[in-house]
Amino acid sequence: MRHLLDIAHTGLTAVLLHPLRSLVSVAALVVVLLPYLVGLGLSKGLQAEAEASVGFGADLYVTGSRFGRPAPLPLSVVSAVRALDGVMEVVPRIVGEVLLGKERLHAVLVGLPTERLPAWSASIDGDLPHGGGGPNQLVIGTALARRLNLKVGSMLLPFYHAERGERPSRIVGVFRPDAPLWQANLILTTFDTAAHLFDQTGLATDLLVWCRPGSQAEVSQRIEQGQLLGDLQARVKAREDLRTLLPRGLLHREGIFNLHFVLVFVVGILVLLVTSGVGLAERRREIGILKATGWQTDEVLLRGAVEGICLSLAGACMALLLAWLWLRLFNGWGVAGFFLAGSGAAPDFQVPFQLTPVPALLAFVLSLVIVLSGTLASLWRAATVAPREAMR
Amino acid sequence: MTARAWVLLVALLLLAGASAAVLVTETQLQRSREERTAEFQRLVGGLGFGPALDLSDCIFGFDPRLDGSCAQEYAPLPGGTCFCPRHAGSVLYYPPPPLGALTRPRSPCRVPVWFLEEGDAPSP
Repeated sequence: MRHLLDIAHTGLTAVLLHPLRSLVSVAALVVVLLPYLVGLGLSKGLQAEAEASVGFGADLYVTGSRFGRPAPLPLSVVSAVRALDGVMEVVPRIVGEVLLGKERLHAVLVGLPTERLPAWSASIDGDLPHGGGGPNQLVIGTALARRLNLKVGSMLLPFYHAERGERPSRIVGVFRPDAPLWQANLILTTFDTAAHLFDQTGLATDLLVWCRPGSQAEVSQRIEQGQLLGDLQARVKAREDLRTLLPRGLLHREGIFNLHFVLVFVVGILVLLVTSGVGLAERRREIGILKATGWQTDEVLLRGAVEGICLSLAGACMALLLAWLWLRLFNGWGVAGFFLAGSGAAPDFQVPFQLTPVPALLAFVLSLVIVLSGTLASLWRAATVAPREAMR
Repeated sequence: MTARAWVLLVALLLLAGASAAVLVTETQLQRSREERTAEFQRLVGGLGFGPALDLSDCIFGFDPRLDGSCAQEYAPLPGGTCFCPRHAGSVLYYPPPPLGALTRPRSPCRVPVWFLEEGDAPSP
């Protein structure tokens, strides 16, 4: 055992014997692993946010349809759906687009009934809108707040046209940056205010339906096949329908993502193959000297394996730390736009990501495979020939 | 072992320790983020699913609950989903949801004849 430890120590010394070669190897590993870890972290973070959106939402989403396109629902439908057996709660919601400011920024306006809004929310700095007279009360997302230079208490001139007259709006709250990414361009207000802003009374874009456990299918069937919406066609999207979407799509794209990196890993192996024994005559001579002084082939290989483990550990750890810095401190600067269309190079919200032990371990295993594939083969070739040949 | 080798060993251990600390910290931060996400989603009744951040080009890319398919599918070119910048080029891709999957009648389960017992035969 002592003998093996001594050989392992020489492996550690071998890292320092060719500092340039070691630096190039670690740099090659970091270049390969860093985008892989960042991409995987972002992908997992987005997936978790999407899963939470489905998990904490309603059981069923009812929308109207005309000509195969979404159409608003009359509010009279709410009581009809509420009367269905198995339905616990029905909440009408307005979701639409408004344009703000001189730059005509696109914002998603969401209106929910006042009684549905809690008194306080941890995801908002400031207050929630609570109807009543006076200016429209709005909670806005971080991207809108930054671009329009708005904060809690700011007033917004009328940005809409309504038959009943326009009113200025007051910012009562701003979403926190660590809330989900969809808050970035969101405006939350009461249902009545949203109806006023869109100048559409008595209509909702969708109904959120919560059902008793086990009765979703039955309720969904009744809404779809009944005549609750009159001449409108009913469309029901169930939580389970959405849950099936993520694995199908994400696994497909992750497969393509991984396939690209398999090619990059192959290039990494070739780079290390060149920087190790194949391209470095000095290294072959060094193995020849070791063999001439009595080292066995397995001892030379053990020395090379320890050296490879040190290099791959350094590469994987540095890649992980840099990926964390990129995502946490620099908020995915430059890379988030590839995953989130429209976020730009510098996102205005906290980019969701997950750096878990499994990808980190995977990075170490991959780096080990790359380094050992690149070095052990050349070591074996040099160690199995006569010392005189290796030293030539 | 030489002093330089010891320095290298310590540096490697420090790197590994820092990586482990990052992973532990991130796991704890993740929990608080999950709570914040849950609260936001309860507040708005479940909103947002895809990589789009507004409704400007593709409502489906923002949330498939608001629109069942990509708006680019119909205009300006039929079958334009492939060109939709909001979700076609993103890693977070998903196909249109199967409408009514919950209520669609399941195909009858096929049972081998040899598995049936006498009592399973339909009554005339």
